[in-house]
Amino acid sequence: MLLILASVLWWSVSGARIGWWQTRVGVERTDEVTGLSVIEWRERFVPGLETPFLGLLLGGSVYASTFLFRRRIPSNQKTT
Amino acid sequence: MTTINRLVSATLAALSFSVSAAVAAPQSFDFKDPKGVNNVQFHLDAPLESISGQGTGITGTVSFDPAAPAATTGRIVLSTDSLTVGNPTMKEHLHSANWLDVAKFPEIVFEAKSLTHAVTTGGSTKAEAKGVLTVKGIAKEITVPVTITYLPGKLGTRLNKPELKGDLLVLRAQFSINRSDFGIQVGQYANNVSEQIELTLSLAGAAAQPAP
Repeated sequence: MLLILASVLWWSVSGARIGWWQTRVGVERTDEVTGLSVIEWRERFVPGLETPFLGLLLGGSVYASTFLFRRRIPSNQKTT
Repeated sequence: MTTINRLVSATLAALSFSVSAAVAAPQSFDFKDPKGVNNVQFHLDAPLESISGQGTGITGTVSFDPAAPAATTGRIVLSTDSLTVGNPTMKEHLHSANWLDVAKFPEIVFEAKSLTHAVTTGGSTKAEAKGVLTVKGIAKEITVPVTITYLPGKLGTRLNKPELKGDLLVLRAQFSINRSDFGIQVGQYANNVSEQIELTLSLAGAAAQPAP
């Protein structure tokens, strides 16, 4: 649950980008004389939709694995 | 009129003719931008996220005559290797043999042959440029709406070198092409990536004047 919440939180704080992961962000620069604009790329990781999806997958897997490795309680100790 | 007066008049007339001829001559503008601003932006619609990026590896020359903008011709070359997007995997796909095949086709070329419907207002000319666009080795005749802005004497200002004399020519164009027309994933990914590629050209060329 913590994994799912952390991934959703990270994704939300980073702008809740509805798209894929980006490792570079475009920043527009305008040339004063000509008025032309160009995108300058800066190295920065922006989490995309994969982040909450992976968090959900990982959190779900961890949760499912708890059922596999759960210690079996002897039937006579189940209830008193 | 005395002989001297006649001589002066004739000399002045000859001088003014040669000056106007010099001004009216077409100039060759170099589009290799030292400021790295020249770019071609592309945009393809896709269901989750539209694919947008740009290429800045631009070279080429355009012949422009301020007295006759409609006579403009030229050749603009975009290095396909300079095309980039924000996502590295997407960039890898874009450069791969399936898409642009950058290794085999290192250039995208537009050769402007003529200008039609040219309307000049002030220093700006709106027209339709007819020419040949070559992508992935496939050449197609296309017509592109362009805006040409002539900025006389602005080269030095732009490069922060007041001693440098010369003019600038700014070209802007926005148009679409079909990727299947140029052999880019023909009939593939129709549901995932749009057939149309929207292109936006923002280019500035320089014509330096030789030092006196």
